[in-house]
Amino acid sequence: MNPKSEPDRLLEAQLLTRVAQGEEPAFAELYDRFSTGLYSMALRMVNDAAEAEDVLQETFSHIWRKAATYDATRSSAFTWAVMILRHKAIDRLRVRQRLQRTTDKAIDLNFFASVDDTSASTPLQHELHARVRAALALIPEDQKQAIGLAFFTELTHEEIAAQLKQPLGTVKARIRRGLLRLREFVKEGA
Amino acid sequence: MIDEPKQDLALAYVLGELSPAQARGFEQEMRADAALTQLVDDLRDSTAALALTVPKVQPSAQLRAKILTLAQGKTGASADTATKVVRWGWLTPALGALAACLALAFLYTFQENQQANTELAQEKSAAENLAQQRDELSRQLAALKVTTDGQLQQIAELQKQGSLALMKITTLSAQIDTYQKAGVVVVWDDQKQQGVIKMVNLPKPGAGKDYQLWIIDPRYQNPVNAGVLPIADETGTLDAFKPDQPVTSATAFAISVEKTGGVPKAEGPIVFVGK
Repeated sequence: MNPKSEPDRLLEAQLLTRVAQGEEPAFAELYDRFSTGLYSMALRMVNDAAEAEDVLQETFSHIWRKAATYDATRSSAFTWAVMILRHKAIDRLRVRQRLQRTTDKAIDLNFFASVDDTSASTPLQHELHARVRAALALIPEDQKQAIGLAFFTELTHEEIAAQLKQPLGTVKARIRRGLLRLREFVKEGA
Repeated sequence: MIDEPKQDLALAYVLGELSPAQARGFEQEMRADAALTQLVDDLRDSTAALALTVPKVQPSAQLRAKILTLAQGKTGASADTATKVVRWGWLTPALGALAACLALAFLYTFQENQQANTELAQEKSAAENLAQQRDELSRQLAALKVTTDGQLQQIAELQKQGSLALMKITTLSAQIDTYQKAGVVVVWDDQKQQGVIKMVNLPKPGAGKDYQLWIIDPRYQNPVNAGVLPIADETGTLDAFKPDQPVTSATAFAISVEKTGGVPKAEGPIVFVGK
């Protein structure tokens, strides 16, 4: 990260350390920094406000209980929280999918429409968003669709291949190329 | 340089596509490969950044309050139990002593009460946390149950198919006219190394004689002894049997008439055979 966002990253890691020690104010501050981004993502994934609230609650419950397991040398606190939320949302979506016993639902493939009203709420998140947006502008549409399906839905790579009516190898290659491109941009300022 | 299959594996790991066993294997690989670990960390960071591309939606203030209660009660709330000492010098010594006793009793009760309240609040908070964990686990359990039920059904189906595939059903034919009216069927389970024999209208073998069942297995020079059979009544007899040696391939079954109690190696006439 560049010097501008480094203090943010450090602060968020410290907040998690304090949360691990049971500090309520740190938990509240972390909530204020992450909740909009996480809730927006939960809503995008489960497409239901009540369920998105449940997912957010489960995520913060996990953060409160498991903050000590966070490793600041491996990822940013926001990344850690996003991955927890994604996992919780996918659990729900898979239960829903099994209960409905169907996978042939209509999926909106327009994952990365130009969004100015980003869910980023800190300078670090705004900077990241700008980088992601720059990367997405250069990533071909078919790769963006594959990435969106892989990240925002509960679909496995095989299911994505079926959804896009493409061979599994093609889908894997699209996800790989797209995410490696994204990685170049996200890492750029590091 | 990390090759494409390894990159795919790293992506699958980051996206939670690997099975628990595959993930453990990959984590082991990562521990021995710093470049691979770095790739995974970078991919995780850049993938998570996609969350910021979603249009902004604020969660409700009520939700904030609800979530922040998760943290309540965890910190050691130290109640201020400062008390004042009251002196009652104008009372008579006896009354003073009584008042002092009452004050001490009250003070003791008050402190006990305060401590109990604090403990109660902590217990309540812990109980709430546990309830939340329980709810979360219940949800995960429900998800697992759905999967498990489906898998169990598949396993049962496969077992059924597998069991049937491994069963050998053989009708034995009489080799002597006397036995033409009798019916004998053998069901052999190769996996369990045991079988069931159904016999109908089998005449009595004669005094001092028994029917004995044999399994023909090419692995052995002589038929494998499957035991003496009970005497059938008119309704027939159903009997389970187990050979005295492991059977690799039960190509045929035979029944002979032997002396009472059976023999280790067939000697008497073969009255039934079936392949």
